Amino acid sequence: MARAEQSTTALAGEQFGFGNVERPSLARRLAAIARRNKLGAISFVLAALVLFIGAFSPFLQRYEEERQFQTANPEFNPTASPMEIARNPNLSTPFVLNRFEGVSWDHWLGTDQLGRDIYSRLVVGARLAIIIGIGASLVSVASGTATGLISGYFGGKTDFVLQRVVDGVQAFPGLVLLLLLVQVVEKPSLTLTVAVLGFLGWAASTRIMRSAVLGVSSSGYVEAARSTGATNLRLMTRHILPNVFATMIIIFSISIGLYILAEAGLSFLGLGPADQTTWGKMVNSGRNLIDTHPEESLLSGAAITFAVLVFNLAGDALRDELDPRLRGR
Amino acid sequence: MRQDDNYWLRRPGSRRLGRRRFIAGAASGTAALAGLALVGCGDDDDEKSGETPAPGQTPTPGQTAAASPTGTPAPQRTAGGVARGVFLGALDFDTVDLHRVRANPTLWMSNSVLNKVVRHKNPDTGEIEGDLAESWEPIDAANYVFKIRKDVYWQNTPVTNGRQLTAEDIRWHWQRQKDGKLSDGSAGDFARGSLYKQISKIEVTDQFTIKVTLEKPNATFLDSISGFGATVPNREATEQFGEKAPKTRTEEAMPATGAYTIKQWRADKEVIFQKNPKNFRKGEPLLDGTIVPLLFGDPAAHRIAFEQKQVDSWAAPDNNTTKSVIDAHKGQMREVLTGVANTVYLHLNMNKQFKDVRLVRAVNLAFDRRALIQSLHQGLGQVSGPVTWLQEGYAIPTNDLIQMDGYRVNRDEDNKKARELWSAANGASLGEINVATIQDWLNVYPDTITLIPAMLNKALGVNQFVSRKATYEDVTANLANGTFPNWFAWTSAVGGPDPRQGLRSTYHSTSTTNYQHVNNPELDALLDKAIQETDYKKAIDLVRQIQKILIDNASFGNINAYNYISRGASWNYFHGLLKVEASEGKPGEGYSLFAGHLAPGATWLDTKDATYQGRPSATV
Repeated sequence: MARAEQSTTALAGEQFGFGNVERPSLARRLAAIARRNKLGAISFVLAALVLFIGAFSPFLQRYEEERQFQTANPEFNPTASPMEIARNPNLSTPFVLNRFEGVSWDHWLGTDQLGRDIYSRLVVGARLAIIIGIGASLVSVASGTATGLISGYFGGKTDFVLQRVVDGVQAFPGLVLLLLLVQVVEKPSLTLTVAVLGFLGWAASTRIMRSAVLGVSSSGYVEAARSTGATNLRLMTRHILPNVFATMIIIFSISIGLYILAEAGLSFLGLGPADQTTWGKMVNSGRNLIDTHPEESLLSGAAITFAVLVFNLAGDALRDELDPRLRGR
Repeated sequence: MRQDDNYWLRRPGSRRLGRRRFIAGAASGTAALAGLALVGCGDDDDEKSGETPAPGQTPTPGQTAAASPTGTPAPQRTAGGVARGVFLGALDFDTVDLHRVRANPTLWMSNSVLNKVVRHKNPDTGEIEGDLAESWEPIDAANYVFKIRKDVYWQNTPVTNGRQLTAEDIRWHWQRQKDGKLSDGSAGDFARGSLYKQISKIEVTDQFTIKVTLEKPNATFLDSISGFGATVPNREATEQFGEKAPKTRTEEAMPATGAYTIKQWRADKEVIFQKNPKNFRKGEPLLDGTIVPLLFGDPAAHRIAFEQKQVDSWAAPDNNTTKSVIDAHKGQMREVLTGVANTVYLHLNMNKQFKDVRLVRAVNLAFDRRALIQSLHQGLGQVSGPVTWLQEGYAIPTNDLIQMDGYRVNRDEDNKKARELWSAANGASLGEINVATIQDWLNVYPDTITLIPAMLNKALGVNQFVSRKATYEDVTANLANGTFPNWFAWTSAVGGPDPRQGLRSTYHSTSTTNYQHVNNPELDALLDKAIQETDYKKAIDLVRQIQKILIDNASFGNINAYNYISRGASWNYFHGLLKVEASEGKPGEGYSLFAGHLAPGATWLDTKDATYQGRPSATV
């Protein structure tokens, strides 16, 4: 029976005589893809850059992200009256924050209203964005695949019940659900944010994966494996799952940008990870001064846009390559 | 303006008060937790009219206002029009029951709609004048007789039928708060009950005369009943709405006696005030109404609305932003500087996590007040001791304050001491410590949630402090049961220049609003002595002794941080309440202490001013 249960993918290849064809090297294949889909290639490089920045942020950030740069204040007079301070605020404190410093060697992107280095904060924000984007995508795809697989494979009542749950979750406004889930816990931690965002994407992932599983389940090679007595678990894990893997990869890559955006929204509303510097929090922090000192909001907003864009384009490119019907279009 | 005429430059010793004047002039101070309230009124009330005429002497429309300090004739006041303001705290609401309310919005509204028995004529000096009382006689510091005006009528609503206000209304107002009970006999949490529990007897001697006897002499009584939270509500409306549906905002819950009636008071809607034609202060208000949009959790939206003249006055969280807007509209706007009466506090709950006072002292030492003034207010502020610098007569002089724990210029010294105390009291055993930041504050200063824990962790050399957001309701709902969170934000508006009643309410062991359950016999004795003291200098001395004990104990968890100075702007067509008018090149000066009750008689719109052009019309 073990022989009969060879990977159906390999079996299919051999059946059509592809097995003996010499395949080009990975580098050559990538080069060919890059020539075919230039935008996709560029987006992959840029997405890799974002991943690199996120992964190596402790080495790339030049200063501790909450460090407030300040200068000793010779005018400080601790006994100054409030009205004297009203006329000259420099009298009140022994130092003055280096607020809104321009671009310099010390501060590559300047400083914010609290004298913090914007570049270092952006780099730290990238790490959080990557962790949340990839983490939530993993949660969403893993859970969506599991339920989509069960739902699509078993069908019948199981499918009906699971899909009604999915309907229920999808019918609920996503943002409201997000706010609700984050509000019920006292501390919106990084783990919770990842879990909540992942849960939010679970319904859509389930739906897509179910469709993919339905398509594969009725394939001849699955029927063949079933006829040899393969168990349900074996059929799902050995014969169906490998054949919906491309779909998983596409959902995963496209979701990253969406989750980065969702987290930025949550953080902007003050519902993101409480103790971490995130891009959304930076946009919020700078919004009160957006007309006079837009640097912090604009730069963090641009970072969000950039990351979301490159991950979306990369996801699109991946979909194009993995879906034979779209390849080369 | 002479320098020494400026409130902020005057020194404690510069005031001279006789005994009788003192009884009449002392004012209630901040009750740190007792009168917890939201911010917003500080900034907005800055911008309301000038000198308030005595009752019956209100300038009629068209009468010339006082000349500006520079001698330039001020424009003629004109009646009519509808002003639009902003009340930052408007989203935080707790109850329509004025006796139990802690949050600023309801109290702030009540000061435009209702009256007090007596009120502050000048909040910053504590000078008092009659309001519902046409006259009063302090027989001594424990006995007072009030003659109530005969021309005061409740707004005609189904529950009041427009009946006359009598001494019985005042009796009920005091008695209910003294008893601390609702009409069905059940106990309630009365926010200012501590004051009224000092009353031993209330006698209505005739329909318009009421006599009150205190258990012990209280030199601050008149000021206490002049304060922000002393407005007299209607009994029938309170029992029908305040007791049966305290959380439901409705204009019927607050029938007016004063300048305005409430045309609209509903959740999530702008509050609309309409001129009360039956106001006993003839000629007031000058405006036909005021609209208070429930705007602004978003300061940027507030600024845009101001620049588009959708609101008439404004103050940005960042003082430099205000300055830049004023500069961009040179000659069209006035700049106003005002000390914000809502003191910034850090509260640590000594009933729960911080039972060891050494831990509270350590946090007090680690708390870098000047760093926050610099970070959040760009330097515009000054540290405050247990009595704020707004209450300059009683506050510890800055020269002395900077030698004390938490106020030293040398931060290393304070931080070293803080670490020693933290270690000695085994602060590590507390585990994670959440110092919640209030959402209203975060709307304005979003970075606070990381600044406070970072500051405390660094100073104490730990990694225990975190900050999560909370609402004022999370705090107020848990004050009486002692389970309120550790929190940071604005607290009560300072009610007047005399802090004694506030200190007693917050720290006396017998006070119903001593939420930290402080029980210090030495402190009790000083508080009792201070509140009875009619000699100004002796009172100051006693209050300074009290403050010494408080600082030695980090104010038992109610850690005063600072009061900042708000830089506000108003369009030239809008005339609000200013203590000192703006003159060329010099900003105006607002009342630091609550003066909203004076606004109706002095707030007006100059429709002839060039800046009025383009202002969107408003009606009520």
